[in-house]
Amino acid sequence: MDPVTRKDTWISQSRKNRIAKWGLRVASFLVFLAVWQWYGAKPEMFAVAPPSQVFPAFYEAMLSGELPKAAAGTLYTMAVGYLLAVVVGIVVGFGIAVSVWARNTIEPIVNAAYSAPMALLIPILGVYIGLEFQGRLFLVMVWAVFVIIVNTAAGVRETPPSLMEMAQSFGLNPWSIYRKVIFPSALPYILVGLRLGAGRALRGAVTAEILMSTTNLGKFLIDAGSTFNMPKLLAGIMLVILLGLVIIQGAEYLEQRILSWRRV
Amino acid sequence: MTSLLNKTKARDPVRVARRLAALFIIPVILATGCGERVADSALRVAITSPTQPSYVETIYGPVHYGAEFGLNITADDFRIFDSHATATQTVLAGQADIVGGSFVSHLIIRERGLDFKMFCPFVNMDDFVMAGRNGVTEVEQLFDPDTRVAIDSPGGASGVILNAMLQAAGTGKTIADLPNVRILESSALRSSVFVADGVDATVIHLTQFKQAAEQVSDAVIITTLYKDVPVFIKEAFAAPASWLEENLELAASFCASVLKAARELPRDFDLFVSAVNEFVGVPPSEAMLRETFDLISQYEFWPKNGDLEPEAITQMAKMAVLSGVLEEVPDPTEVVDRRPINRALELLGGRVE
Repeated sequence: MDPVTRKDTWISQSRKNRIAKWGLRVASFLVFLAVWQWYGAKPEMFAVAPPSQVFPAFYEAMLSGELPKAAAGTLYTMAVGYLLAVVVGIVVGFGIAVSVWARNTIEPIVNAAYSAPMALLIPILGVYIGLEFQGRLFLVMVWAVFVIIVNTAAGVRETPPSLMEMAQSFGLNPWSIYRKVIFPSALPYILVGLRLGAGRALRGAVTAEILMSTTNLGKFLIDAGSTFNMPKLLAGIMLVILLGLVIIQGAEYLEQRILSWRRV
Repeated sequence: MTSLLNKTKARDPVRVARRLAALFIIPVILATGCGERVADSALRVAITSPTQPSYVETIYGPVHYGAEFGLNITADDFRIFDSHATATQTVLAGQADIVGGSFVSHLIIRERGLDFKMFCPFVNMDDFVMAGRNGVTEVEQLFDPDTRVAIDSPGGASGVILNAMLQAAGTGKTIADLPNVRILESSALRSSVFVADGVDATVIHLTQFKQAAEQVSDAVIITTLYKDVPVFIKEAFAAPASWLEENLELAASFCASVLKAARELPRDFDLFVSAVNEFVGVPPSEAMLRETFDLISQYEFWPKNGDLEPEAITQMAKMAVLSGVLEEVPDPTEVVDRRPINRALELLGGRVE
């Protein structure tokens, strides 16, 4: 087979694969909708409204502006809290990786806090920070920061010694070593931390809005739930899931773009 | 290469079939209810919140007095939830027969199209108070734009309770007229924010107020549910109308056992304490139990005669409409089936004062 024909065959195969992948996704989604409709439409079913009621409720809430307004408020809280988490997470992560003192003092606390449920902090936050915007920001920040710290520290530690030795042999100063060797080497880990942190920040924002001073999407969900408006409640949940999907997919896309220089 | 291999695997018909089968089978398993089932029993009860001292009679009565009325029930026949929707769904799915929960929530459930009827009230009053600080001592001050008031979301208890307080105080206003509101779902959170000076007034339990008052020198009780609101129905048992039609005697026996506990426990502090120790997960201190007991006894928190009078139902429904959780006031005869209550009173030998 000559190279041109082989390339055409490969492109054709690649296209078929892509069609098959999307075909499977669409089919799975349709099957999921069908099962959901069947399950939710059962007369004895109350807690799970069928999509035939949820999608109109979603459309109505979007059209009235109620859901977009709530989502905008949640995303704002999430974005500000996440930015704080990124700054704190990368700085502390670097500190833990390069400082023996930080490794012995801060890292155990980070590891313990990473696995602790952050909602436990809410009663304390109520007293010291308040349950309004500042409190919510703090909760989003702590929800997202630890995964960024852990990944940043791991990435910095994984810098190949051979690269460090080469940098030193070229006479680079410490700042240049950080900038030109350690940071690019740790970047894949840092970006994974940022991606995971973005998902956790959204979860933190919605949780804070439900469990702290109720507002935005949290209020939308609480109001719908407490009045048993199940189509509206599921419409809100659907939007949260969609936002999570968009945020994670967006973060993945950015990660791939930023790391494209690493690919052969 | 790995990527290409993965793509080839994804198109493998066997793998595709397995994935589709999984998509079908998992929801079917969920739908057919392969989860834990309660033991077969004459009556299975779903309760919408964990048992508290202020409504311990709901479980103590059936378990200890049920046999007197021909009821075969144990503590295992009670399923405790933390959500009215889940408890209601449990009844609809046939995993429980009746549901005990908020009166207003039962009304909303009916408005959502489920033919549930209430047949036995079990809590009328509660120890909720409107607490104030920073000079907020009068109900009218709640409508000052500078007064920060914390309540829960429209469907929650404190919103309806505050509306009842506002009506009883003759303000002619509702929670919708409050200009500076913070929505905090749990009374514990509202209490801690009140202590931290995050709000100037809030609806909390009396016990929480007393703890808060130790740290807030100017904390005052502005109004209370139990002293100032003449009519309130907080919690009741409900069941699908069709179930009640077929099980009137069973519902009456259950109601009679609950009403008997509502009559007996407020008479004897030691009995009340033993009931709390038996059925409440983490019982409060005896001093706190004494306070609760005194309130229950003095203000008749528990209905001894199963009163669900049309006027009271209409009043509660109006409060729910004002709170924005109910669209219209229902016909009181439609939401309650009085036959089990009447029969329960017969079984108990009549009404008591």
